[in-house]
Amino acid sequence: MATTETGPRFARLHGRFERRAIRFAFAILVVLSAGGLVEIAPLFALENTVEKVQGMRPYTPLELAGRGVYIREGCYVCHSQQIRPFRDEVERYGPYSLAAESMYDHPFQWGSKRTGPDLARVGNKYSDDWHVRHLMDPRDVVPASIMPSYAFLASRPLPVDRIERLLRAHRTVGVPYSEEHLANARADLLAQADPEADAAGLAQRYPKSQQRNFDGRPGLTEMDALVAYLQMLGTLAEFDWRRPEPEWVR
Amino acid sequence: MNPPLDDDKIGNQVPPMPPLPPGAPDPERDPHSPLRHTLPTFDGIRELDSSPPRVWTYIYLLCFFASIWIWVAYPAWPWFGGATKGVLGWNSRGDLPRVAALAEEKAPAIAKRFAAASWEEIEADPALRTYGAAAGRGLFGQNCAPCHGSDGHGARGFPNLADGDWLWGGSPEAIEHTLRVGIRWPGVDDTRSNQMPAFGAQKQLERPQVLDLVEWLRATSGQEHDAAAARRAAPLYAENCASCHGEDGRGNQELGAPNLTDNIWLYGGDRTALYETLWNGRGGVMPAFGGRLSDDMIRKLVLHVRGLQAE
Repeated sequence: MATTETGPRFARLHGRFERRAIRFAFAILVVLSAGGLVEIAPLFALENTVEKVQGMRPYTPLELAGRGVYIREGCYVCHSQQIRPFRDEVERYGPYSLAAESMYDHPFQWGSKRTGPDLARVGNKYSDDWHVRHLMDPRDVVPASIMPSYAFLASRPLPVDRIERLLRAHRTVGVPYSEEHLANARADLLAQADPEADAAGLAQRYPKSQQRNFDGRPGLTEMDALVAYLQMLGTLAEFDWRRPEPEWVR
Repeated sequence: MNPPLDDDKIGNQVPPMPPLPPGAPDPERDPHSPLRHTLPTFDGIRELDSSPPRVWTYIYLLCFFASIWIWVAYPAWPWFGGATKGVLGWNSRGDLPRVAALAEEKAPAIAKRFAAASWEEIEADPALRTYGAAAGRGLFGQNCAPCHGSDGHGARGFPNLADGDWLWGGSPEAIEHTLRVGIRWPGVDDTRSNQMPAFGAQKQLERPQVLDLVEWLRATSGQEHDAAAARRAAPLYAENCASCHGEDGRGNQELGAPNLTDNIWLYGGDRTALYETLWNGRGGVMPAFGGRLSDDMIRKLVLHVRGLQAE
């Protein structure tokens, strides 16, 4: 019984908090605020967290619509879009991802879990035909795949009438679409999916945009939009990760 | 006996303890804790307030101070003038080129010999060929297998790389060039490109003529066919097809025109598939890997692809 009167101070402190509800609640608040600060503080410094990179531009209307399909179908549940600056990742997927490459993403499509491969640089890696066949029936081209089929995308017409409002919504949260972008949203969307269309305006407003019939079938479907989105992923930023102190990062 | 404790004053009184034999430890009391239990007793159930083993507390404190050290030593806090850099000056991006260079430096001797060798030297040295083909396997799995299959046997519309039948040539130089520039790849000016016309859809041939040509193709490739129709189609072939596929139908790798006599078909050799090919034309696409893969990677892939045939 020698320890009865002189228990460790730590245990006494614990007892004092646990037995007083208000004091305990206040202590919880203080601890949680520290966690909140860690998450919120970076947002105040976002400007200097995103490095300046050549080549980035907002999504074209068709890509943005395809991105909507990507999010709606929950592709992000299995696929990340974030190549980390490690040798194994860089050797497999290509140059690591930069913050600037997702600065027009609302919400971003990073991720910490991969069931399928990372898609940050999948653009221009496979042919359109491959993407379509893979989305229609993944086992057709990759026998070991466990990805579900998305064949229905090829028969769902892409709604184009609300595209301007979609761009406007993205402008509200900070994507620098100009009035010109908004006014031409519908025309640009249709032009990008039509190889015959005059795309001078599209190319001027969205450099490096690819123009063709993405699913190789007549009609404008969600498949066109999704393939257009996938084929641009990771193709915009121009930088060389091999330079230790690269001038592309401020 | 124990003095009255703070916790015993709140709420229910703890039922009186049975008398303990003299010198025996109190069963409800941790020797390290001054308290008997945390909260008042409910329905005779008591939550005892024993301390966790001391070592847990030490580990907790260790982690606590380690995290502070990490904040100080490594890039941690985004701040208004840029994120804190850390006293060690380390960051993962800056470290990557160092790790890559280290990997290059520590690479086995054969990898260095391979990187420095010319095509002729590689061709002449079985060890280099074996090394390159083996090193190309992973690259093939990552970049080529989605279309051509992990064994290179291809699929409908994606050529079989293991059958020795090449569309654009099977020499190392030809394969290397195909890998670099792709086939019908938008965005690369000198990409390999040709155009199989849509003879039906563009109204260059009538439906019966296309049907006759289908029989000619089946005859040439040694399949079961309608001989009369095939004979009728011979002049049609000479006029429309021979310029690319050759008088004898053996194709032309300069133009990427397939050999029609070997009964190897990219889109199928049955009547429906042949009709569709003639009516709508074909034009598969392969991405250009020149910008994506290094020269060293491309050479390894070439060797792996050439090795597929032997497997």
